[in-house]
Amino acid sequence: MEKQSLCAHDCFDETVDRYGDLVYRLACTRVQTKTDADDVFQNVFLLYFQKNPTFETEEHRRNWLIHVTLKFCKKLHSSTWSRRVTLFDEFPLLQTDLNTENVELLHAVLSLPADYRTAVWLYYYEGFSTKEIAAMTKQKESTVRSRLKRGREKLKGALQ
Amino acid sequence: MNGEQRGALFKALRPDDETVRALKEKVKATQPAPRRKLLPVAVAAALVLITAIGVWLTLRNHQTPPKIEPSDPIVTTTQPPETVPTNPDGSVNFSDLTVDGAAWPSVPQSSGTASIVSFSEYAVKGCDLCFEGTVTDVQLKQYDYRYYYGEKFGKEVIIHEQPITQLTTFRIEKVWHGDPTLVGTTITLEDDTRGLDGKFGYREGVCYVVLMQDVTGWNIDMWHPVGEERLLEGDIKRSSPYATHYPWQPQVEKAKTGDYIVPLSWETVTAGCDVKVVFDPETPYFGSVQELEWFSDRLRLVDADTFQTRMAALLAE
Repeated sequence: MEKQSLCAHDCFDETVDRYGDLVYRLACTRVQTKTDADDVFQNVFLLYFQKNPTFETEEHRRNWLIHVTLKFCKKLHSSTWSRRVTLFDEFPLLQTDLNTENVELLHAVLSLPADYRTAVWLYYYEGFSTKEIAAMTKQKESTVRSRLKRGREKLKGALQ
Repeated sequence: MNGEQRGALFKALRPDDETVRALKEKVKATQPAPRRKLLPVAVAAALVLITAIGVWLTLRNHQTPPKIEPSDPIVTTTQPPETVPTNPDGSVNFSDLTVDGAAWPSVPQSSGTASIVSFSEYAVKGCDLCFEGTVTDVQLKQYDYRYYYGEKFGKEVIIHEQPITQLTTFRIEKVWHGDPTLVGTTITLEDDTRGLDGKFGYREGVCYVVLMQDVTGWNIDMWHPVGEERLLEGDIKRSSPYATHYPWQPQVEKAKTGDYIVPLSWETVTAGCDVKVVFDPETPYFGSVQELEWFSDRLRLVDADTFQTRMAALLAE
């Protein structure tokens, strides 16, 4: 593959347009409140601008953004007290736009332990492959597969 | 969840305009990373360092007479062992290095393809156990089962599988990474021959450097791990909870000369080692040796000392 240098400053706005929604959705599933998701979203792209990393491919750029998003979410989660607010309280549109079955499923997905939740969200909702998720989360592909498998088992138990 | 519902979900979970606007204002007020400012400092530091090394070498050469250093281990690996015949191109034959009569188990060849990640030698620390051991027993086991398989995009089929696994028992002689008390014990790995593909199966009597993973809780069907699968008939319980970490290439083999036959994907271990190992007609392979030709250009002979040093360096990183 021909190497190319993709600098953060070259196309900052385009990057926000392209990956902003992906970063925000992932943040929503991890922190579960709108304010925290807003913070993570802004912090990820601010860091991206400040560090000005250079990437060989567009895929590297995306993986970097996802990885940093997860780090910020983890940091935020460990530094705040456990909230009882749910994603549905914060995003009322979810209640109106999704049918009952999907609301139940989403509730179950969001109730999964964080690592399983991330794997299930990225695979089933965002459509990434296990190989891509492994690269984004810097884990072995076998770890991602086992998390998907255990996540599905937990979902099955929760929905029965 | 269908496309419409996914669209609704994604539409609801978007940063609002105010959040994006606030981000862009913060970015405007933020200075970019001082990457370019660091560059002159780095260049200056490098120049100072180079000058200092130059001065030190000059002083050193004036103070001590030049002496003949023992040859670099990398250089020695470009020469095959004297006891092994060499081909005109400098390569050595696999059959001259491997244990006499150690034949591959005969298993059906796989024609399937899979998306396989490339091997990284740093797996020596990432795997659950890295050991050196001699194969004391090889058994093949055939499974027979049917299962329902549904992909996330709606494909639903019933699959009849009859995979063959290779159960390989090793006597552990050295532990490179993991529990050192395992030396002297035996361990059995179970590998699906669809992954091993016959070409890389372990052979009885041969000593290998094995990267092992613990797959406790996995069943034998590892091929559709992310679909919705349901066993309909048969037994899929593995006989061993241990498997080869990366089965899609020949494993590192200890030659009877004491050197190691190593795939090129072990980049730092094979660096500078020019002696190719080729699969010659005497290779105890059950099929046509032509099938192994692809690997003839990708195996190197690494002498024992170099191998030990470089493995230690890999583990120390």
